[in-house]
Amino acid sequence: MRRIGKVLFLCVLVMGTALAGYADERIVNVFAEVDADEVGLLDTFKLTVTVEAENIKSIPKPEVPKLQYFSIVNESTRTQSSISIVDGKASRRKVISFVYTVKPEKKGTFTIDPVRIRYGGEVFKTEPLLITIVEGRKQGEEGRFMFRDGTAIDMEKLRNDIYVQVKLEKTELLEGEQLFLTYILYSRLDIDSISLKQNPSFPGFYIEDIYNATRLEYRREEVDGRIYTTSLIKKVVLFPLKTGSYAPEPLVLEATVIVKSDDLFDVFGRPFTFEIESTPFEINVKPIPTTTGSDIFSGVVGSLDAALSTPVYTIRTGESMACYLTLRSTGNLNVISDPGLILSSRGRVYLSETMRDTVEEEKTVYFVKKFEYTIIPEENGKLDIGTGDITYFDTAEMQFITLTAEPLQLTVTGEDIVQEKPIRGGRKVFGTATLQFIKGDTKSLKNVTASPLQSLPYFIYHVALTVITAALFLIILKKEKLEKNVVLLRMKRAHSSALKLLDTASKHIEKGDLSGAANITYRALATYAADKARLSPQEVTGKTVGRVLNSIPGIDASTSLKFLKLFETCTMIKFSTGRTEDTDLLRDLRDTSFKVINEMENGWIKNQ
Amino acid sequence: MRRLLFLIVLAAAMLFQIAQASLENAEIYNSANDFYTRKEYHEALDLYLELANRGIQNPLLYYNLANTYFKIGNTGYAVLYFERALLLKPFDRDIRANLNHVRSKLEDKIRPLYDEGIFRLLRTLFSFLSLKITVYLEILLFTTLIVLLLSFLFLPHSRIRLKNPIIVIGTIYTAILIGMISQYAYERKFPQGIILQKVLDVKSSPLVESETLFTLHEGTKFRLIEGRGEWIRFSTPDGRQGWILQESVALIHEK
Repeated sequence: MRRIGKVLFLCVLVMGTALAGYADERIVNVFAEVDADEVGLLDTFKLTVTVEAENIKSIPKPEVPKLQYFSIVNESTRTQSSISIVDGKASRRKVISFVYTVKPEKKGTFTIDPVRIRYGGEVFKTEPLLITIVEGRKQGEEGRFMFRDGTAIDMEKLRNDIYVQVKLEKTELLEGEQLFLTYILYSRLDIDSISLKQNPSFPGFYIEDIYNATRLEYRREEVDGRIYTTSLIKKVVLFPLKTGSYAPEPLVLEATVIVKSDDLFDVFGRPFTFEIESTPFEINVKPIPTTTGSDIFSGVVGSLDAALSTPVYTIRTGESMACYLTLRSTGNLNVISDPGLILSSRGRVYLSETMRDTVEEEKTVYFVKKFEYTIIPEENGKLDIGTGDITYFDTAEMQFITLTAEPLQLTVTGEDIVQEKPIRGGRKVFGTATLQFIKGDTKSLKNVTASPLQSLPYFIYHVALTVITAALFLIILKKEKLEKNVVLLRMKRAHSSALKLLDTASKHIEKGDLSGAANITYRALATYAADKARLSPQEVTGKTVGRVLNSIPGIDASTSLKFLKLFETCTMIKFSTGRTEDTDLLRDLRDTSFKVINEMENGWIKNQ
Repeated sequence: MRRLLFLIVLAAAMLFQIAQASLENAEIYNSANDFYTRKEYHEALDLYLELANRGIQNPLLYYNLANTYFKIGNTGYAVLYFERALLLKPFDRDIRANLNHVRSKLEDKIRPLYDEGIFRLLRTLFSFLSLKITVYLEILLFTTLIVLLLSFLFLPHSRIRLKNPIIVIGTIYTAILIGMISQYAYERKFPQGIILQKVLDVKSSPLVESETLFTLHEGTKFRLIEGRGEWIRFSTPDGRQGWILQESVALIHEK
């Protein structure tokens, strides 16, 4: 515990001292310079903005003024820092140089406006710079580049110290033959930055890029007793398309190197940007010396191997299997699209996929093209799979060679798949043997529509019929529903209607209108039976009443008999004038009607 | 009244004009037939093409035009016009026979994928079920359904008996309608075409310098998948796909 306390105390002490020491943060000096007063229009020059600061962790980036007749092609920074302790006070000094590679775009004398740096609310400015741009190239004059302070760079020596070498095996080759080029950067200098400015171009050649460097990997190599750092830039394979002499455009790099002068005090050197072009070379393309056997020439020049392979050797008819044809060549295999397979017995072959690969072996690149075929055998027995002939020009034997891959033999089991007639039949009597004669003359030649789907009559027919049917459905079904509702209402209200009529009959009896009372009682019974049977009251007569009562559900035989009796009595009273003065009879008739109707209603409700 | 009279006269004049044009077209057609019979195929072709250029879509014209193209050795166009004739008259046995005959002479023998058993049967059935036939079938079913519905409405006593036929016909009609609309949409989106160029290299991408995948010959049928500028992507009945220039092909269904 005590030990931890001691460590913590020491840490606090050190931090406190450090913080006390680094109290004053400030920018001490800002200045800008160019590495030459006069440069050529084809040259580049360096604009260096140097900032000296104390105790500042992060120095802000300078604000470069708008350069109207110049363009900035590259930016880099260099930092130097030192710590000094004076009177127990620690001070950290930092010098950062922002180096801009600038390319002039117009001739004349121009002023580069002050560069600004903003820090802690203050603005620091450099002095304006004057620079003269002249025609052509100034830096390369007499093989020397002059800096502003008078120091010079020997460009020839520089180009001996850093250069791009193109390695190629031969400069004379046949049309279509492979030429493998390797671009290597050799350097004995300290490289600050490097970038690809221009890729080489090869008009008249089919190009296969093998390698393009994304970052430089350095090795050491001795050339003429001098040690160089080398780095692979690019690998490319060319196939000449035509005969003739070619001088391909070079590869161009833009490099910034640190050059050191003979001055003893120039410890760090200074950056210098320039372009490095790959070494020039010439290619002479000759025609293929012989034409014998060139009739079915595939276009491949070099070596060529072909091999067939399959993962299965026994298969059933109708099943699919994969078969691979692998071509390996130093020539351009892009000229071969599908060599095709040949089957000894019936079956179907489809090219499913084509895969490509490159294999680099010492100074030659082999191209591999793998064709994946799907085979569906259709005939039982042995099946030999072979390839068609591929003719190429062999550069070792200097003659055309026709190549066939070693055939494969498979065993096919299962039943034969019989080929059927064409899908779209025709006249079987004629088959496909002859062409039917033209159609004869006509009296009128009208337009026939391929599909009436978009025609107006088709549309009208559908819309009209649909609308009419829908409207009829709506109207008729609604009407039916209404009628149904009325009938149902009548069924439900049959009881109350009958009782109301019987009440009216009572009133008629009280008034002494016995004939009217008999009539109304008759109506009450007939209306009740009709409503329950969903009929009109007129349909209920002495003859039909029995059948009507049978159609009403829930009425037992005794009630039905009582009703029939009542109905008969009412009918008799209605049509016999002599008995209508018997008030008691009518009262009795009315009361019995009440009872019978109530019984019938109860039975009907129970049944419902 | 005057207006109505004017409209009637105008309609009559238009009908007369159409009838007159139809007669004139028939004359040209018959003259072309005469040339064909005399084996003057190029003269016959000129007259048939004159009619086709007038916008006449007629199975007789297309059939004879296809025959003429075949006689002068242009199998690509022969297949194209036989296919067009078949669109207008799907059940014509002469058209089918001649199309089979021309196909037997084609360089590319492409066998469709899924060509065995039930697939073959379905393919044969669907080859007859062109859009025109589907539309006629739809009209027939639609009319039957309407008749059944009206019977249901006006014959209340037969309603129970009519219920099941209405459900069955209604279901079939719905299926046919959906099928017809899908077929129409599919044919519009992925129309079929014929290769007209004698030999055509099929590319892996819509660039002249791209890899040649395979080679096709005139008369081969394909289905268009997409178009990009002057290039089209297509697939053959055996499932192969690639890019070709659209100037070397023609679509069967005329827009």
